[in-house]
Amino acid sequence: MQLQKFVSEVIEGLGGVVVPVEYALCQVLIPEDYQGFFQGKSELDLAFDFEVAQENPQSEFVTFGSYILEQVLTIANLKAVSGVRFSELDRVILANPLKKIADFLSEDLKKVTLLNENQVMGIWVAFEFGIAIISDEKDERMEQLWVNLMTGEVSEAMKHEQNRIIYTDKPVYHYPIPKDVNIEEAYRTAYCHVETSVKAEQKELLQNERLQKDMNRIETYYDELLNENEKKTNRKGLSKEKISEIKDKSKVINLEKNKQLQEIQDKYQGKIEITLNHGIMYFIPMIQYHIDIRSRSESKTQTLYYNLITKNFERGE
Amino acid sequence: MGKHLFKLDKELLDLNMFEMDASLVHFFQEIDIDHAMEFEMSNDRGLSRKFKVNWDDNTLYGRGIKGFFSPYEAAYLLIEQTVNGEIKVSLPKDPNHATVGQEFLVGKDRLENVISAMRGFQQDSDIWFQLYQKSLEFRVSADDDSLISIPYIREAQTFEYQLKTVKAVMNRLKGRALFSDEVGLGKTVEAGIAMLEYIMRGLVKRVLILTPPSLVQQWENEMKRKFNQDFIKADDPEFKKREDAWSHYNKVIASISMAKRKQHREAIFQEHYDLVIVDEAHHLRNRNTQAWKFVNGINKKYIFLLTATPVQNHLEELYNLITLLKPGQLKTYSYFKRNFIESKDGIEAKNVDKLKGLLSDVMIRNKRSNVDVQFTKRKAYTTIVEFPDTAHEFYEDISTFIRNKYSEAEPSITRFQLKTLQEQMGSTFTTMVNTLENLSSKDNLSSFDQKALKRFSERAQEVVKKEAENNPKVEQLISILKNFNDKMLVFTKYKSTQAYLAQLLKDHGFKVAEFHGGLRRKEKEEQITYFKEQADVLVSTEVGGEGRNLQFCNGMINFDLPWNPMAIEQRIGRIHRIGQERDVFVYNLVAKDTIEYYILDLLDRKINMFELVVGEVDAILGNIEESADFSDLMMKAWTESADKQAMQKELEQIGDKLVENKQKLLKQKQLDEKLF
Repeated sequence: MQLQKFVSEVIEGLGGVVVPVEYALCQVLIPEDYQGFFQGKSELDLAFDFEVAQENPQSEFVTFGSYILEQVLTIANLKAVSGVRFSELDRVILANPLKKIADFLSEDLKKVTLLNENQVMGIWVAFEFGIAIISDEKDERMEQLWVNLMTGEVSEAMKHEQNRIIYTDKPVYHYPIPKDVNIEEAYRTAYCHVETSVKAEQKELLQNERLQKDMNRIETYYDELLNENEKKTNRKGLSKEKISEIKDKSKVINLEKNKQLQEIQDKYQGKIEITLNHGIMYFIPMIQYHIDIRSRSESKTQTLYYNLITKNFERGE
Repeated sequence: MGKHLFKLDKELLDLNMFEMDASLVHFFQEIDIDHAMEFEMSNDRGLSRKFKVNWDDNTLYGRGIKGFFSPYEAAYLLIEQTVNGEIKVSLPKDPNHATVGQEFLVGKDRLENVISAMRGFQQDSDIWFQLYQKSLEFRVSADDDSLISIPYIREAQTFEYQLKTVKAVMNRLKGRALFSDEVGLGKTVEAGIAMLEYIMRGLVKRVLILTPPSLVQQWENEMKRKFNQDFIKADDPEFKKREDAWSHYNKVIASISMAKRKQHREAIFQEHYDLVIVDEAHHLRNRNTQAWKFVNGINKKYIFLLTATPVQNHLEELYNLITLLKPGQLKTYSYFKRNFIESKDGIEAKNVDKLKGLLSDVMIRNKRSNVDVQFTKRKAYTTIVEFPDTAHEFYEDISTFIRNKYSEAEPSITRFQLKTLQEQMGSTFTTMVNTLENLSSKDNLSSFDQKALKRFSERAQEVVKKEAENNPKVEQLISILKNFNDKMLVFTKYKSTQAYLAQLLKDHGFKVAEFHGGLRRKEKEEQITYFKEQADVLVSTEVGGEGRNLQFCNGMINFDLPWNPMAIEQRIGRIHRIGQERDVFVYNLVAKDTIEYYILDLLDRKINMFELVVGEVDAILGNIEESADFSDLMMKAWTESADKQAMQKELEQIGDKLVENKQKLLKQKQLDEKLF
């Protein structure tokens, strides 16, 4: 009874009480703050099986599409707003950094000088977006976007490696954060990234061969119907009423054609909806390197960060 | 040197102290703040105060410390020492959403909430993020090729071909499909899974199911039983009493004949349904009928048409069904006729490969020969017994009374009550005692009728006294059970007969499991387990057990006989379904010259009903039930015929129609072989 377990966990998470009565039946007490979600009720009997619901007519039947489940799903979505996680690492050091930096930059080792290295606190924000392209073929999905606050860039690598992050809910390291924490900027980066990819999807949908095929099908069909109908007016000896009847039918066919074409275009012209569901901040130590790269008479300083999760360097400013 | 994150702990602020966490301790150690050394701190709210650090208890203290920290509603704050040595406390920058391009963003309040919570480093419990993840499993599929609804289907075994069908309907056919499996392969289950899948993915909220009148109840049960979906029937009093019922209820089951009536049709046309399911969709085979136009006129996103016989008499029927789903798929009818119809009678196709290609865009047909499902055979045995004289006379007398009353213009006893009485006699006389007792005390009856019923009631009690040792059906029942040597399912229509038989069989030393609608769910499970593991026989009424898995048993006895062939089919279907590995044996017990005797004769002799392939009964009944339920047709023949010959003639006509339908079914099968 996965569904019952889920509903119980949500209600208990709110501070409510769930008392199992028998198979697929439980009594719940809803905390005052959340009674509004349940039509003002403070106590409910919930049945998760239709037979149990029938045997207990006072109970609310909880199933997919039922009011109670919709409310519980809404709450589960609303309650996860913001998270802060602190990673724990084996060690925050990197052996032979200079050589690795030179390799990363594809530079001659002799041209690179390590000015200093510091352990700093890196921050990533994982934004969870809901993305829907709403049409008959509605496509709905969740997409997580990781943004590195140190570099201001979307980080696909961290998204893929996130399972390697061991975290706790309290700070473990006391390293300084080397940059401003700008959540809004990170959100803007993430949103733009999502929007660009969804727009591309929508464009693809409209150029879909299937749409063209469907539109051709409808146009050909109704045009042929129209031809067949109008041929009838060529018959000899038709009364005025009959001719008018045929003409009316042609109008109806045209109306139906337009309706069908509109429907099919609506079906493919998906309306995009993007929602931000929540965000989670990850504090993960990094090693910051200031380096100098010489090239002929010039020299250039640069900041690099070593990411201990992806085991790779990222460029700073 | 960068910023440091520290915990905002307001607990000691009333004492003008602030407890430092390890991060803040570390920060002040780094910048060499000595014990009791006064230093200035400012915050991003424009306040500046002088504080000291007490290294003994790791606290920060000083005047105004409460006012300094209390404006912050955050879990953590940032602290830094600026280049000019100033110690500054802050939160991440204020958001300025006006600058954010958000053309497609919905839920701006949510955005504000999330961003402002993140600015305050709000730390919601991990449990909520886990529950959020779980909630996605109920809403969004990982990919198009996985079905998220399967774990939530109850009491139904699903097969690979059914899952393939559902995936094809959703992905390739985009929710507009003709489910055309051969009978018995579970079109309802396929449509139900696709429906649940759409509901769970959040794509469907409003569903309208249209069926023939006789299947409304069955659909309601199936939707509840197998898919936990609560539909309301359009003939439910609750539904009828609301003027806005069609817009109020999201999930409705209606008979198509009722829904297409003007007052309903107009209300339905005002609505928009996410999904419309039409069962027995061959009733939409004519595009000039009201039914076709009605379904065509409904505003709908997805539509499932279900029929095992997309062509019955003419290929035009197939054209009409496909055009309903996807106008233009087969072009105009004259094109279709020219290109795909071979013979004048319209039943032979040409350019079959091309036609098949066009059909595959909208239609799915699984055939027994193509899927890995085989049905075992059925064998039926009927035992005709004779009532003892007293019982026989009693049966005849009551039947005469019922006949007379049934034809009354203003009946004092309803036709339903009279029919029930007649049916009860076909089970056991015990069953009818209470009914007679109740009827005899009805106020609106004449004193003559009251006396007659009182007398019948007394006679019934006399017959009942002898029924235990003198009931030939019971004798036969015991004899069959003793000879069968395996588990046996005994069916009766009535709870009182069920209890009577269960006790009687126990008295004869059988281990008896019992099943009826009065048991609670848990008791039902216990009885089925007892039957499976220990008992010899399960004595069951028809109610409530449809989904229970009884395929371990391959014998059943109809102690009494339902008057409707579909009800008989449903009984047999309890053990003769996908998953049954042995041949199934059906025993019918019937007393000579009773109405059941004639019904059995009609169904068994004329159409060999008990040995038909699973699902064929439905096809053979065809349009016979269009005007009235089959059982009502039987009752009409029984009560309105002047004598037995007249009644047999009447039944013979119904039988001829059944035979005609059976022949038609054979012809369809031939076309089927060629076309699908």
